[in-house]
Amino acid sequence: MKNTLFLFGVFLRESIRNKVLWFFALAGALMILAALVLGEMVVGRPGKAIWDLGLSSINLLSLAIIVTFGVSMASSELEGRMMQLLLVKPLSRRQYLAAIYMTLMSLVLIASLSMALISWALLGFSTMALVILAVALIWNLLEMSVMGAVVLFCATLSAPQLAMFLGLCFYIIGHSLSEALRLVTVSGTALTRGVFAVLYFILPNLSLFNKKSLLASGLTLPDLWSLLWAGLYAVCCVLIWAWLAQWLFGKKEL
Amino acid sequence: MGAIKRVCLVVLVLSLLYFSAQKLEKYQNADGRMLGGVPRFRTDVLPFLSLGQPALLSDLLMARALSYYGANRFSKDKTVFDGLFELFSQAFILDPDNSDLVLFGANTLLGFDISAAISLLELGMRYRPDYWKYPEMTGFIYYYHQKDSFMAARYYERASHLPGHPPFVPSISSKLYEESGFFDQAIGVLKNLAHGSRSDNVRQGFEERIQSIEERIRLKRFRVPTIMQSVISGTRVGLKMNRFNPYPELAASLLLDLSWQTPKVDEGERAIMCSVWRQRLGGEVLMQLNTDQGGQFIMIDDAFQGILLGDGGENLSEKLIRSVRQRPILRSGSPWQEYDGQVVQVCGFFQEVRADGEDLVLIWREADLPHGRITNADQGVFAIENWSGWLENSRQSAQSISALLTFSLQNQAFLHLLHPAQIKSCADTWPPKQKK
Repeated sequence: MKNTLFLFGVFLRESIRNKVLWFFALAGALMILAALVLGEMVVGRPGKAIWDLGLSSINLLSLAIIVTFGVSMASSELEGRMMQLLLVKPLSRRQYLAAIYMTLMSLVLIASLSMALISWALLGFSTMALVILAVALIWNLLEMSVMGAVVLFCATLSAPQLAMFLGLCFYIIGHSLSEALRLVTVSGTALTRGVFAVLYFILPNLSLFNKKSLLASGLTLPDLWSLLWAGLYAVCCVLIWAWLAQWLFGKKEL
Repeated sequence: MGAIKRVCLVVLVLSLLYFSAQKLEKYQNADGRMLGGVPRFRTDVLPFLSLGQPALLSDLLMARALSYYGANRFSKDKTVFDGLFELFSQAFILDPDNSDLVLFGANTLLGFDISAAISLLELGMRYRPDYWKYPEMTGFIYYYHQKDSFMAARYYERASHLPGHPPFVPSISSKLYEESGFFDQAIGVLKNLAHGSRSDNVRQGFEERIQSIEERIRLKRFRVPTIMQSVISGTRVGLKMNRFNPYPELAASLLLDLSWQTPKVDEGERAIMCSVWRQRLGGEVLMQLNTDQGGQFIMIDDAFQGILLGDGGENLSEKLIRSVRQRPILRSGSPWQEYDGQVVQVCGFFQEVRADGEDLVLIWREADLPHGRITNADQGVFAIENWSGWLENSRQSAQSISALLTFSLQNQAFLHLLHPAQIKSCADTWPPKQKK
C-alpha cells in the first residue's frame, strides 16, 4: 500500500505538471462560460443553460481526463521502458495499476470540483445549487470510476491510440445501451433481442449514472436508494473491469 | 507490428466514418431538408446522437429553433416553419424534464399552426402525464382558437385531476361543459369539486350550481322538444331540388326508414332500420336533405350555405332563430311531434353518435330518453362503410360528432352529422330567451 501511495503521489505530481490538463480545464471553463450566451436562447427554469452546460462540462472534462491520462499513463511507462525499472523495485503490477487508477480518480475529482465551483459562481452561490452540484459530482464520480477501470482495461489491451478510441466507444455505447435495448425490444428480432440482452449485462451501462437532466431541471433529487444501488453497480463494474485489466497486464511481456 | 496496428486503425476509422455517414443519410428525413442549418434526424436516434448529453443537445436544438424562428418571423411564406414542430418536439423528447419548453413551443406554433401546437402539447402530456399545465393550455387553445367548448372542457377536466392545478381549472371545466350543453359532465365535475372541498361555504356554492344546472336540464327537457315551426316554411324558394349535386361539408346524411314515423318513446333502446344510398362528397351546397324518392337531394339556399360554410355553422342558430322570430314557436311534449304544413322540423339534437359494433347508437342530449340505434350501419348501404373508423377519425380531426334530427314534409326523418361548432350554438340558444 505504501508503494502504491508513493507511486500515486509521483503520478499525480506529473499529471498536474502536464499542460494538457490545463488545456482541458480551460476548455471546460470556456464551455461553462458559453452558457451565458446560450442562456439567452434557452427556455426553461432560470439558469437552465448554466446547469446543462455546467453538468455536461463536468462530465466531458472528466471523460477527457480519464481517457487521455489513463491511456498515456498506462502506456508511456511501457513504451519508455520505465516500467521495467519500476517493477524491479518491490512493486507488483497490480499496485502499479492501482496507483494509476487512484491518480485518475484524483484528477477527475479536482477537475470536477473546479468546474462545479465555476458553475456555482455563475448560479449565484445559492445553497440549493450547491446541494444539486454536490449530488451531481457524486453521480459523476461513480460513472467515471467505472470509466476509469474500463479505460485501464483498454490501455492494457491495445496500443494507446486504439485504447483511446475504444474508451470513447465504451462511453458512447454505455450511454446508448438502455435506448438500444428499448428500440430492439420494440422492433428487433428474437436474435437481436437476445444479443442486446447479453450485451446489456456485459457492457457497463453508463446511462444509469446519467442524472444530469433530472438535476438540471431542479424538480427533485435522485433518492438515496438509487444512489446506493448505483454505488453497488459501480463497485461491481470496477471490480470486474479492473480485474480484467490486471489479468491482461499480468500476461503482458515487458 | 505497430505499423500494422496503425494501418488497421486507420482502416477501421475510415470504415466507421463511411458507415456512420451512410447511416446518418438514412436517418435524415426523406426530403433531406434542413431546418435552420440543423439536419433533421429521426426522433428515435436522437438519444444516440446526444452521446450522453441529451439536455445539452436539447438546449442547442432549442436555441437553433428559436434563432431560426426569429430570423423568419415576418416571412410571408409560412412553409419556412415546416419542421419547427419537429425541432421543438425533439428538443422536448431529449429533455422531458424541461416542462416550459412545450408551453413555449406551443405558444410559438400557435402563430401559424394551431394543430401543431396541440400536437406538441399532446406530446408533452404523453411524457409528463402528471403536469396540469399541458391539458390546461390545450383546453384554452380549444376554447379560444378552435371555438370548441366541449373539447376545451374535456382538457380542463383532465387538468383538474392532476396535482397542483389551481382552483379555477375545474370550475372552468364545468362552465365549459355547461356551455357546450353537456350538463351531465358539468354536474360530474361540480360533484367532484363539492366532494373534495373542505369549506362548507364552497361546497354549498357548488351544490347551488349543480341545482341550477339540474333546473336547466329540467326546463330543457320540456322545452327542447321545441319544434321550430316553419323554419323554412313560406320560403320554399329557398329549397332547391337537385338530384345530382352531392353535398360537401357535412359529414354525412342518413335517410331513416319510412317506418320510423312519429316514433313513440318506448322502454329500452329503439332499433331503427335504415335504407340509405351511397352519396358522393364535393360540390357547392352545404346541407343536404335526402328525400325518399329516388335519391333526390334538397339543397339549402345560399343563405344557409353562407352560414354553415362561412363560419363553420357558428351562426346557424342565429339564422334559425331569426327566421322564426316573427313566427310562433310551438312547443310540445315530444321531440318527434309532427306538424302539418312544415317543410322541415328541427326536432332535436343528439349529443353524440357512437359506433357499437355494426350499429350506430344515437344519444339524445336529454339524459332520460332512450338511445336510438341504427342497426347494421356497416353493411355498405351508407356512404360510410366503416363507422367505427370513421367516427374515430372524425373525432380526431373534428373532436366529436353530434347530430341534428329533422323531419321533412313527407315525415321523412334525417340525421345530419355535425361538428360541435355547428350544433353548439343551436343547443345553447334553445329555447330562445323570451323578451322581457
